[in-house]
Amino acid sequence: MKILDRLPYSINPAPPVALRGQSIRVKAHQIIVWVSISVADASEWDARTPAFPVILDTGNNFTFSIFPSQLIQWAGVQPQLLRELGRIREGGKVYTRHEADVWIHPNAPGHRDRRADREPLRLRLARGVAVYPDTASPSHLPLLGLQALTENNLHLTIDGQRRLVGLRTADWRTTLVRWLS
Amino acid sequence: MIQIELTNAQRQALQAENGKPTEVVDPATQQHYVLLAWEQYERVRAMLESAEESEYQEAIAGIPPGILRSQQAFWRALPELLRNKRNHGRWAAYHLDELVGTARDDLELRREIKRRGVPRDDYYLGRIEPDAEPPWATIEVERLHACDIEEWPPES
Repeated sequence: MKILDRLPYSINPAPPVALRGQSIRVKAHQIIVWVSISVADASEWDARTPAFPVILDTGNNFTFSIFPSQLIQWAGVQPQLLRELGRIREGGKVYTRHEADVWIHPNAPGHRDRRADREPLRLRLARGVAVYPDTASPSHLPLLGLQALTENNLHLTIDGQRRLVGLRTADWRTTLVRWLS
Repeated sequence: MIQIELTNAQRQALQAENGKPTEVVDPATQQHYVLLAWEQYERVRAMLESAEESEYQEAIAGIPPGILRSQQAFWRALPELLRNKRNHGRWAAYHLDELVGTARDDLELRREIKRRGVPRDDYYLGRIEPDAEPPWATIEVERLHACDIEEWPPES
C-alpha cells in the first residue's frame, strides 16, 4: 500500500506549512509528512483526530519526538494521558518515552500538504514516542525517525533527481526491487 | 560466576601485558571484553555495581510500578518466547506477571486487556523480537542537524 506517493521536497527554502493560523517555516532538504497522534488504546482510526506536519528525519535513530506544546496544540493530546514507558537520552539530556499511536497520512500524489482521501497508517511503536520536557520551547517540528519506519517494515525511496519521496508497506514491489538490485 | 579456563595463547598474551587489562574480542559477535586480574576487578566492582544501580534507578524513575513489573515479566519471558520462530514479530501482552496473550496485531491484545478490565498502569505490550535492551532502558538518541550547519567561511 502506498502511503507517500511522489511527495515533493525542495532544495531551496520550501513554502511554509499553514497550520491553525500559524505559518511554519520549512528549510531546504526537509521532508515534511503529515501525522496524527492518539492515546494508544483498542480504537480504530477516528477521523476527528487532528493532523500536523513533522520532519521525516532518517538521521534520527529513534521513533518519534515531539514538544509538549505541539502535542497539546497540534495533536490535541495532553501528555499525561500517554503512559510512560521509559526514557531517552539525547545530547546529554534525558526525556520521557510514552506509549502512543502515531498515524501517518497518505498524501495526494505529487502534493506535500494535500492529503489523500484514505485512512492513515497506524505505526506500531513498541518503544513509544519521546516527549521533550515542559520547559523546552519548540525549536523545530516534531521528528519522525528511522526507527519508526524500520519497526513497521516500511519501504522508503528518495528520488534525489526529481526530489520526490515514496513510502509504502512491504508488498510485491518490495520483492521485485530487492530482486532487481 | 561462570569460570572459563585460559588457553596457552591467552595466558601468554596476558603475561606479555604485565598485569595490565587486556582486550578480548569474540570473532562471532564482534563483542569486546576486558580481561582483568581478580584483584583489579574487586577494586572496580563496587564502583561498577553502584553506577549500574543508579543508572537503573534513573531509567525507571517515572515508569508506573505496574507497567515496570509487566515490562520485567515480558523481558524475563522473551528468550522463551523467541524459541518459537512463529512468535517472531508478534506482540505479547503482560498484566503484571501474567501473560495475557500473543497476537500478530497489538490491537487484538488491547481489546483483550480492555475486556479483562486491566487497570491503565498495570500492563505492557512488547514486540517479540531479539532486543539488546530491556523495555525500561534509557535509549541513546542522536539527532542530526545537518540543516543547521552554517556556511564556512561566511559569505561577505
